[in-house]
Amino acid sequence: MADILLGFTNVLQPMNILICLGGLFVGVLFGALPGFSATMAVAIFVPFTYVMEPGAALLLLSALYCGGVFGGSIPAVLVGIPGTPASAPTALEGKALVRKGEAGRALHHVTLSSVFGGALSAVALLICAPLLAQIAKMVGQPEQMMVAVFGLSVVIMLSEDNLFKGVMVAIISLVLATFGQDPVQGFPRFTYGFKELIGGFSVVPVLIGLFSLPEVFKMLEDPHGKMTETGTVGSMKLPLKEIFGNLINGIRSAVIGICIGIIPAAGPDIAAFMAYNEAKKASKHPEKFGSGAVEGIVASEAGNNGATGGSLIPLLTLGIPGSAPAAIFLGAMIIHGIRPGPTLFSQHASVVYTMIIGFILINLLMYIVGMIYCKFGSLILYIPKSILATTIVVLAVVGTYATSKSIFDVWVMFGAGLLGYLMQRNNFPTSPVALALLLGTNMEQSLARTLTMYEGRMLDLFSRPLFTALTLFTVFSFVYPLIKMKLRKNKKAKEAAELKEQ
Amino acid sequence: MRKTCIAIVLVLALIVSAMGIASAEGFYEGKTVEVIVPWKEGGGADVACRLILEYVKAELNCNITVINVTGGGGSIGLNQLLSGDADGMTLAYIANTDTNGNIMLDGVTYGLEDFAPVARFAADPHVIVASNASGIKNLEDLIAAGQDGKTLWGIGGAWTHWDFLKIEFEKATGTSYKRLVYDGGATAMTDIMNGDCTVATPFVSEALPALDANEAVGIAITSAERNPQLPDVPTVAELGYEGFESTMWRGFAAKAGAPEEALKEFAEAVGRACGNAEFIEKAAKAGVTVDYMGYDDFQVYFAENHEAVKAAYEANKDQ
Repeated sequence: MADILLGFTNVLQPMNILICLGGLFVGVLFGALPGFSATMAVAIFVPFTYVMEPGAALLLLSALYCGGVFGGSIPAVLVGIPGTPASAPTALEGKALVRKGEAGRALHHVTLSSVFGGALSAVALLICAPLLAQIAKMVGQPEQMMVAVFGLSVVIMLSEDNLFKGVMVAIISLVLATFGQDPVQGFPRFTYGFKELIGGFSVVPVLIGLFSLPEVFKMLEDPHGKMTETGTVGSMKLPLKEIFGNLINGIRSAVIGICIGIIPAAGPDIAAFMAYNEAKKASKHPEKFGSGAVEGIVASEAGNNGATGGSLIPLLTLGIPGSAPAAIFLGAMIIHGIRPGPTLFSQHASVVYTMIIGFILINLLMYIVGMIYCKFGSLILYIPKSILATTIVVLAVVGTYATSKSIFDVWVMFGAGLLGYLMQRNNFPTSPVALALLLGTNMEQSLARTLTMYEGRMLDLFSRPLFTALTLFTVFSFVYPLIKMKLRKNKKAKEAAELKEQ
Repeated sequence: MRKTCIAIVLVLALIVSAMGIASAEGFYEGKTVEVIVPWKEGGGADVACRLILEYVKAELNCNITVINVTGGGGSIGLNQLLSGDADGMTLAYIANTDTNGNIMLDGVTYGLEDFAPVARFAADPHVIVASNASGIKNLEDLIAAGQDGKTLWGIGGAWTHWDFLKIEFEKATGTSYKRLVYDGGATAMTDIMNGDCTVATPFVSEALPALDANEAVGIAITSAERNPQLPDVPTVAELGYEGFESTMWRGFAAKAGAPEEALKEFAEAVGRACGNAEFIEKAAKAGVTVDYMGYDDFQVYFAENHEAVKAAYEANKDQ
């Protein structure tokens, strides 16, 4: 308890609050610019933290991380381009609301649910990190494989209108995820003589292209127009009823986010998709999803920010990073001589509690910083589309090149963008590509390891309780939407028949 | 969007001005050197590189940017080094097995003569650990478990030093284990803690969290001497396998043909950094075992190591 109070006093030092605010401002900017990401923000600032006090250094990195994950949702709402893949589900809903002239309302929901998800995950980190770490330890290779398959079931909900196209896109994308060396012997597959493809497609350039360029092309179809049809951003005020109406959705999504965050190799992006999926299943009006459902935004944002704290739980308690930025955290902590793991809380209590309490404060401060960004950011809706489109292309190219300084990746980005545009114009959903690429590699690796471990005794897998539970969930998750669709179709047919009779 | 653009320009301007531009004297002074790390952020290679380069930067009075170009067992990053100019302004992190890329990894074309070795700065031992569930408590148990080839041995990646350590250990002790490939020592440790994997060979820094909490058993360390971070873990050599030593050395290389004076200057800066007390202290905390080898010695070592790895691979490639 004394350590927690010490953490409080450390965090509340003016300099540390300033560091949190600064980190948030920069982090949100990185997240918001298409092509730049939360991971990049953390990676770029790691060297600067070497000269700082360990506590302050971790606060800065936490602020950058949280800000980055949140920032991605601003362009997702305003121009339909998720600044980071974690905001892809937000983009599905945000754009429709902007068109209706309700950008302000959407942005306020984004900010509020991000703060809610992030703060809840920070509290989880403070109160039940050791407990959740025990769950994290139960997640072995077979469980990780099942989680990936479970994640793929989201494709069904995402492409309800045209299941065939959605599933086809997902399967082809899974094949794309197998490009490059196999995880066991390192044999290159589908490289077509390109040395750059030995490592497979880098996911980041593909996603940047896939999400940004189709929107750019669409903007160019009407270069002189503006993003809002009504010409207004709309009020940012939210009625209390609407906020509390989404409370259960927010809590559910944040819990999903925390749980997904704990699992190694599934970060905020998968969390957002899963939370969105569950919100759609639970919603009274699932048909509104895709055309401006606030519930979808709340779920996606509470989910991805929930994963920020969640991914730090296995990092701090076991030394296992739960997401890409968490891996950079690990490096930074090691360099400061703070070794994450079970002994962390006893040996470096002051630093750890400074970071955890800071995480709560950062998420609360995010409301202020977020609202400022949303307020000014929404002004871009008044910029003509031609200027906006050009800026986005420049950012996408720079962002892609900056990650690995490889021009090949830039071509991949353009290719993915062109493909995405053709897909969208022919009503193929693009989100399954993101899901399949984000999950595919990890699914293959964990499958390969599971096969080695359980060679010749695959049925023994069901002696693992968590694996069995996940398998049941997965089957349910695949079958449930299909049954529901069938029932709805039957009901409609019945109603039509009744109408005819009358 | 315009505002954010202006903001980003301002931020960049600040960063650039903060770095300062000094008057040129040495080859690198005042310039920006790129160092490609072909492994992901936060991993053992990345931490070690970023740590030493902070001090090299100060020694050379230059700016160093670290770029993580991952994938392909390190080959994507090394290919990127080799597709650039041989001007000495781009270097890459290199370790034991990289010069044998062309024979070990299908589709990789580079080999020994494509690189200009610069310097070695560390040689990190692996810790052989066993899961608590396995009941393996010491080297004897481990050897007993390695008789039927069914015991799972987790390695951190296909055809890097991880594989060779396993081969060397098996050869020295007359055992064989079932190869289980992870994407890094930390991931393997998770499965050691929950008992899914039986044996693994993480680096010291990766093993410490679990060993501290008694979530795994430290069997032996693969360096010639005990590690100060793990004083209770014996070396493989002192347990009866005299001369056994297998460490992952870490160094820098440039593209072959890069100006020699430049590389020598860089190597000397690495050497001075390796003598810096502050660096040594930080490296010890990070689990990096500093072991400097200067430009001339490294040329010889680089070629010898190449042949040794090649021979070991040729003998075991059908595994």
